[in-house]
Amino acid sequence: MLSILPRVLGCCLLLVSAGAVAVEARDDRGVLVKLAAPAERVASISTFGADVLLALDIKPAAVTRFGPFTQADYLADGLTGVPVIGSRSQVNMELLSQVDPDLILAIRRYTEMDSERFDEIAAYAALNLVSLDDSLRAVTLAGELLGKPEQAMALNNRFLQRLDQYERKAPGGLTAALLVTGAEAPFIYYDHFLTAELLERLGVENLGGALEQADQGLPLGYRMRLEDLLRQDPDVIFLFASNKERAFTHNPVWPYLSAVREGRVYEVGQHWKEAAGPIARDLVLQEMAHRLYPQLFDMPSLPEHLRSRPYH
Amino acid sequence: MKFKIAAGVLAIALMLLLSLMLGAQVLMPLDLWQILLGQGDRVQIIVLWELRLPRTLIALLVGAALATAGGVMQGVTRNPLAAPDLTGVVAGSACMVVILSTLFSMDAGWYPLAGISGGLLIGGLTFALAWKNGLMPIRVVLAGVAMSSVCVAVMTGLLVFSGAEAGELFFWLAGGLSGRGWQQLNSVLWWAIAPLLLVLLLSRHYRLLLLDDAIGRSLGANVSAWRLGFMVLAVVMTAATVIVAGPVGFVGLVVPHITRRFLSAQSLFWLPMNALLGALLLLAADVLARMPPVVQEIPLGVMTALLGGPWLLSLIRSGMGRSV
Repeated sequence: MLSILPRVLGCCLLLVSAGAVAVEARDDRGVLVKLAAPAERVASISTFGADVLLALDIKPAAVTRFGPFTQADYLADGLTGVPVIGSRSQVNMELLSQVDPDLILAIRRYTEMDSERFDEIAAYAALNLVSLDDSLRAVTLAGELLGKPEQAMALNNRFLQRLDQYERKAPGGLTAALLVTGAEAPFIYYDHFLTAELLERLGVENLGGALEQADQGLPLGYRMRLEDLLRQDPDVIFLFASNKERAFTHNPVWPYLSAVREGRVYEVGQHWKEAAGPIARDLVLQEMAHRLYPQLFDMPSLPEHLRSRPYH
Repeated sequence: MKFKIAAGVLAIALMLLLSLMLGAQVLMPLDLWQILLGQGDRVQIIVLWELRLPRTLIALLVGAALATAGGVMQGVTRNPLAAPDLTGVVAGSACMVVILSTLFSMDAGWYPLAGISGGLLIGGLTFALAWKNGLMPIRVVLAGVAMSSVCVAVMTGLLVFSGAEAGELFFWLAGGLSGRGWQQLNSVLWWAIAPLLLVLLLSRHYRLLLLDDAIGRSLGANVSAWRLGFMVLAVVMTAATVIVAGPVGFVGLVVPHITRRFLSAQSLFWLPMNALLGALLLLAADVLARMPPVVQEIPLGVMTALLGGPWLLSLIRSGMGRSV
């Protein structure tokens, strides 16, 4: 009798797994990603994957580096002990294989050329992760493939509700520039870049302007002439993280900018550059609203090292 | 002779005017005049004094220095293909800056010294590798290409591992004057001006080096010492241009050949005329670089390569390096 018990248990397990619901979702290439069961071991190539997984209470199986940092600082303890498998543009395939994921959530523009190799390791979903629409779609896809579509939809709905609420409350009438790089000429983001889109939704004109024809949302922006920056003279400047001293802020033109004279230049965290994840985009929206309209919006609760700060 | 120099000066003056006028917004001569009188629009005043004027001066300085360095290298080695970019000096300077920037995150104040030491090291190695009973042009070019390839490989490796910085370094390696101002001019002014002036002042000795070594020695010149001295000055000048503008190719190669079409290299005015033409060419390239119909400027190095590449091909086809 006792010898039969393990067989019975085995059969039960088999029946349970056979009954597991297959999931599928179409990624940004238009490829239908199919899984026999919701993914449990997910490797994240880009910060988005780690962000959405933690937002859905799943610990990533592996993550890539976060800009100059090993891991995304704003995701804090959620990534403790999670193996790092290289950068988003250079994934260490051996490390990725060792992790043995069942799903790879990857940023498309850095990984699509290696899609066949990724597919050999696990189901591979390629995501654009540039615009707000990309972000909403990617969260939905992740929810489907993780077997948590309702939770993912709730994340999107909560964010959109907050965005609507902020949009109604924001008085507008400002101009702003999102600048990055340590070089002599700053790089400015186009309107379709998620963070710039949030600016627009808060009634702020993004000086980067619109891109007429984008392919997968690229290019994200361009090197702006300092002459143009001076002529357009933004009310607020957000400086994205850079591990170099920003040479363009030492140009004699810099002190003439209204944002500089009014003390409205802010250094922001690395998550502003990769804000497609549900946690990051929410933090960015709240902090951006506070910096633009400090009397109307409170600063979100953030650890000191993640907070934007005035740039001098 | 006077006519040629006057024409050169006039061309520079015209190009300088164009450089001050053209940019994101066109400033008409009347606007410039009002700005000079301190009456112009506030933004126009800042644009002219803080952006276009220093940028124009840097372009003139970089062009003059590169052309002089090329002229010196071609003259003292008696090699028509010797130029800062073909002898590995530009790549050596750029490589050292990339190494310091990526591996050591050193302050930009060290870049001139780093660039000069990198240029001296790679330039020296190039000439040492090329030396075989004299400096044959093809050997210099081949050794220069080999050394430049090593430098490019090192830079590529560092770019691959530099993560977020790669884009910035890539932009810098394309060469350009976008966003350069008084600070960049100050940082390299003396590194470029001092050797440039020294070369111009010592042009009598330079002309001696153009002669056969035996003739030079019979005239009492220490040929080897002068040759070394001029080469060091050329490397220092080149490195200074790399620091401020990134690697800008072909100016040092092409301009001396253009100058020889106007003047004999033995002319007392050859080096100043060469510097003048170099300044003119680079300023013209920079004005073109900032005038594309798109929002972003074309890198200056791309512009000079587009102008200089066909010239190099025509040099090769015309048998300029036939001694090779």
